[in-house]
Amino acid sequence: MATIARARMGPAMADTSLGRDVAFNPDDWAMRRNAPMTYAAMRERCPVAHSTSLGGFWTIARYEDVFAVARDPATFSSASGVLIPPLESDARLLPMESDPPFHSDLRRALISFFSPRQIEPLEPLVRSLANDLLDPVLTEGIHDLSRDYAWRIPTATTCHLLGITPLDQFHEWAEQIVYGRSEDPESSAAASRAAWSYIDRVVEARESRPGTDLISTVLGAHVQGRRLSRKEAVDTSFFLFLAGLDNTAFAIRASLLSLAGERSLRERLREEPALLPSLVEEWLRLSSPVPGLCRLTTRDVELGGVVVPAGERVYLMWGSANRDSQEFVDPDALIPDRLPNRHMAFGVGIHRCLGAPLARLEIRVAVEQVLTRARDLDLDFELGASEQVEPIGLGPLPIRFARRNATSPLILAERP
Amino acid sequence: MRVHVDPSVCQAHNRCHSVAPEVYELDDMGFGHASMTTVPKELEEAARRGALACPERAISVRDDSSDKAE
Repeated sequence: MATIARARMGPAMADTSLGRDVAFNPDDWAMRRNAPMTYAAMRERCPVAHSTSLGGFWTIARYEDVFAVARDPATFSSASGVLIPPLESDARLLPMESDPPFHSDLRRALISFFSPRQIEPLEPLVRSLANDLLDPVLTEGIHDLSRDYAWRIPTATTCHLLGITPLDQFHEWAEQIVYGRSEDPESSAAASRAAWSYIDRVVEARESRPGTDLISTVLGAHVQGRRLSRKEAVDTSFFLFLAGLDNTAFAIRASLLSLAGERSLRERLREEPALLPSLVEEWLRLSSPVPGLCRLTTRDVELGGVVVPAGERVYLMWGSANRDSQEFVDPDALIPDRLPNRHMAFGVGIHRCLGAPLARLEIRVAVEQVLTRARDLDLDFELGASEQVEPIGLGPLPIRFARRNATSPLILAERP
Repeated sequence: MRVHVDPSVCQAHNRCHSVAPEVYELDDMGFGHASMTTVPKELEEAARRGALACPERAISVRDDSSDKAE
């Protein structure tokens, strides 16, 4: 609770115009490991607060308020950037970091590419990728299912859509660009430059030889009666590239971590495989790979009894909203068939994640293949080293596979 | 029962179709719409589930007294 220990009320006369000051830093990993506790305290005690960290911004912790902000792009602009802290890069993450009408046009040009009708045919490809990756992993012993599995499925799938060859380099870029911006800004900036230049060269090649891939779709977009500038086209492609890598890897890793920790869940899925799509939603809700994004107020606006002035950054805490008991019954519990489950792991409103159908497919197939292949080989699995495993992020995920027989230590451990 | 997906609110999350494909269809871009305006009794539960699944709250289902008269 250290992050809100310094909470204090503003001057008594100004209670309705000032939120509490907190020292909340969304990129603080000590906080993020126990984020649900911090989120609960903020929802309860300071649902709209002012954080003095990272240049100052307002935090919105409750579902209802996050929903209202996300659905009002005229009052809450995305055009000046949505990441806190921002990327160490000049790239504008398009279409996410733009407002209508530019945003509406660019999004319309891209949305068909990610519609279920376009994404569903990718299922055999994702399944075959997952199978190839599992071949060397599905043997008795401990294997890292983060780097050798959760990471590789999104990378390979994204590269397939972009029409490029997956390189190991991409993992380091994504980690440094997204996760290294606070700890090592210089390396993060260098990785951003390298990745942007790489995408720039791909865009150049596609300009002369367009295909049916995502980058060619970006280049074909008409936005406000014109084609995208070269910078806009590279920015858009750079963002689609990056967005396809780390977030889905995070979600696959979090889902496998949950599954490895709960034998009853694995058994239930074996009996009720049709439960998996709604379980994926529940994993997304609880893990919220993108914990929050920000907007800039275009006018003075009241939020939860607090007046936020024009020109202020407002941070939408998706991860906190997704555990709000006002919206979700028993919010910290994993309920595989939860309905309603209107989580905001992909955001809501006009900036709702374009790649959501693809992410859902990748998570579902990644989990399905581990379950079915392990069952076929008469293997069960559990966490290999519970103490050192990070609950979130992209770190190692040691999973121990063992025979499902009476002498297996795995099974014995389950018996009283 | 009558069902309506407000196209000005729908953001193509596809959730309605996922939980109740017998009531909700998707267009080429992934936006949802009801495949019927009046829901037969046997699909009422599915229509409600689809509405509950919508993160944008774009779907309205309401019991229509004229349904009973039919």
